[in-house]
Amino acid sequence: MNIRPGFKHAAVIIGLIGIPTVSFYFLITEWAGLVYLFVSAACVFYSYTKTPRVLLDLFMLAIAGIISKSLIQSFRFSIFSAETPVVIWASIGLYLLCFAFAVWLYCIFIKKIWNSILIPVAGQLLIITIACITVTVLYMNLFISLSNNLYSLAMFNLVIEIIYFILMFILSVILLRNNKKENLLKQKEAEQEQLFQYMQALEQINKDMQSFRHDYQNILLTMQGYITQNDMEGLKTYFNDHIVKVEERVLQNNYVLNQLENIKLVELKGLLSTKVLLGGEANIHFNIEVPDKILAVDMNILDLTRMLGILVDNAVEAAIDSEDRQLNLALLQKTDGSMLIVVENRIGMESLNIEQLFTAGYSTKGKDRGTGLATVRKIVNQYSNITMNTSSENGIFVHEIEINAVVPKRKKFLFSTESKAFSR
Amino acid sequence: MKVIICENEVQQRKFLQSVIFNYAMFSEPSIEVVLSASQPEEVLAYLQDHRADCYFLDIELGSSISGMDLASIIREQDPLANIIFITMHADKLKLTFKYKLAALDFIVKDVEPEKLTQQVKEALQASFAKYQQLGNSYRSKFFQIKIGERIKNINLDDIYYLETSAQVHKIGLHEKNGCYEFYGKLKELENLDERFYRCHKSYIVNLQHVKYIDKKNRKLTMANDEVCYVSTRMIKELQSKIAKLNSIVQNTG
Repeated sequence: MNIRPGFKHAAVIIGLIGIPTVSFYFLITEWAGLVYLFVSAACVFYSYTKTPRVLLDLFMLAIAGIISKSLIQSFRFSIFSAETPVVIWASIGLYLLCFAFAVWLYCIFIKKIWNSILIPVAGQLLIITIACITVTVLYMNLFISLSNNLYSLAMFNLVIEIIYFILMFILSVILLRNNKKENLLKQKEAEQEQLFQYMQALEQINKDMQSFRHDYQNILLTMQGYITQNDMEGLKTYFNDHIVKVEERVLQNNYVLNQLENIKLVELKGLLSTKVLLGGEANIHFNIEVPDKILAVDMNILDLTRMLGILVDNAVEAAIDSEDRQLNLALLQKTDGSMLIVVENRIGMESLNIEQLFTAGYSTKGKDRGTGLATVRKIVNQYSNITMNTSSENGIFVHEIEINAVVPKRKKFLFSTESKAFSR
Repeated sequence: MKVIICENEVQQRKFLQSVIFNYAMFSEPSIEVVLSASQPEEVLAYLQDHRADCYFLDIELGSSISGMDLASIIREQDPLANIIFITMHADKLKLTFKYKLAALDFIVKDVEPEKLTQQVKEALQASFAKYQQLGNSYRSKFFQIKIGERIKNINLDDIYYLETSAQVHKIGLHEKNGCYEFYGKLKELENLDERFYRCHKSYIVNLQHVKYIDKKNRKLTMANDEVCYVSTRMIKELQSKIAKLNSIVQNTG
């Protein structure tokens, strides 16, 4: 607290808080004094600082006080049985020490927390409310346990239980909501990442085009050289080797990106465009077929990209080892909303044990590599609407994944309305 | 076997016709070309009151209906028709043809005539073989799985075992060249063939491929070194079934 303690302040505090509290405490009843102490202290400090944190500080002080009192008391009763003045004075000293220590800890903690994290007003209010209730409960506990009225004790317990149950409920709802928000954010982040990759892919293609343009003049000059020498054969080979090939690659890339246009799921688009580019760099003939628009898939998009990423990576690696370096990928949408994904590549090996591919730790590529397909299998097993086929025939290795459309379940619907009602 | 050709280029169409005609004359007299159309509309009109078994379709027909559209209409009417595409660039939509339209084959146009002839002949052969299969009731020996529109026939001999999956109603099939998943219940598959036996509540095994029975741990090792489980009550019956099957094989072989 940033109040400089002055004489005026001290006078106000003693005049407004100290004297009335003591008089209430001794003249009326004990609890009236305590209540007045809290209310007046809260008002005075709030008028000085104008921040709601004062309330929290006050309650924390009270909690620290009561906890250290109980601590010292239990300590005293467990060791000394007699109530000699020495024992009483020693325990008072210990109490003050303990209280100061607690306050010091709290100061360090709140300094670190309060300014570094921006807590919304609602959150601040909630924290203060919790602190307030706790203080009330603790002090009431003090008085009630002294009285012998069983009925009031039971009522008191009931009230405490209800209050804490409600508090717990509110807190868990808030926690769940935050969790949901966090998940959404994570998903957005992944989406952003994929979009970025897609942009990079486009940029790369643009660069390819530019470099081709840049070479354009050189190409023309070289061709002119052949023409002036009337070297028809040379011109032919030059044309086929240099121009047709480059054009083909640009055209192929354009074609593939055109196919990707049909995918309206940014994450998927980003992933595939990156893979196409990487495949192009590795000199792989990457063929993608997306004949229909793909607007939605009935599975978690993160799972889908993860699964497809693994399958395509595997296929690229296998294609690099194979002779004709070809990789075919198709995303086919059926009219009933289900989707079929086919990943096909040639392999160098004649036969391989399909079962073993799915065991974690096994890989045809040596040690420490074989977690990919096991992960894919794990993902597929999480869904009841997805089936996966893997087969190899005549040197062609195929994965077929069928994602069936799910009719929304009534259960889910009920749950969502319920949670909405809670958050209101 | 009735064949329909749809190709808008006259020269190509005549070429195809002659190749098919020659093949029919020398190898399979039952093959006949019932319609040679230049426009897809002609094919559709013909199909209203006739049917055919094998279609050679050009993809770029130069009409409002493309070869692909035509194929999907044919497929709707006749799920068993053999469709063979003729295209300028074969690999562009290869998988789409295969899985969405269940095309039998693709023929690339821009190659030398001899190679083209060879391709057409091979496609015809494949189509005819499939046509014959339909006639004979061969199908019981195969297990069929539908992937997209494509139907995959798996030889029962090649199947090692079937098992329930982590998800209800999903069944895993493990065979020589791959593993597949489909929706169903093991109970419906118990009577597949005398070679198959349900030895556990979540396994049906092919008795031919049981390599080793571990009675103590109640495990079966299959020919591909996969492990299946067997319930205690079933071990005896499993053994007797295997013995019986082996004796049949020995007697017949």
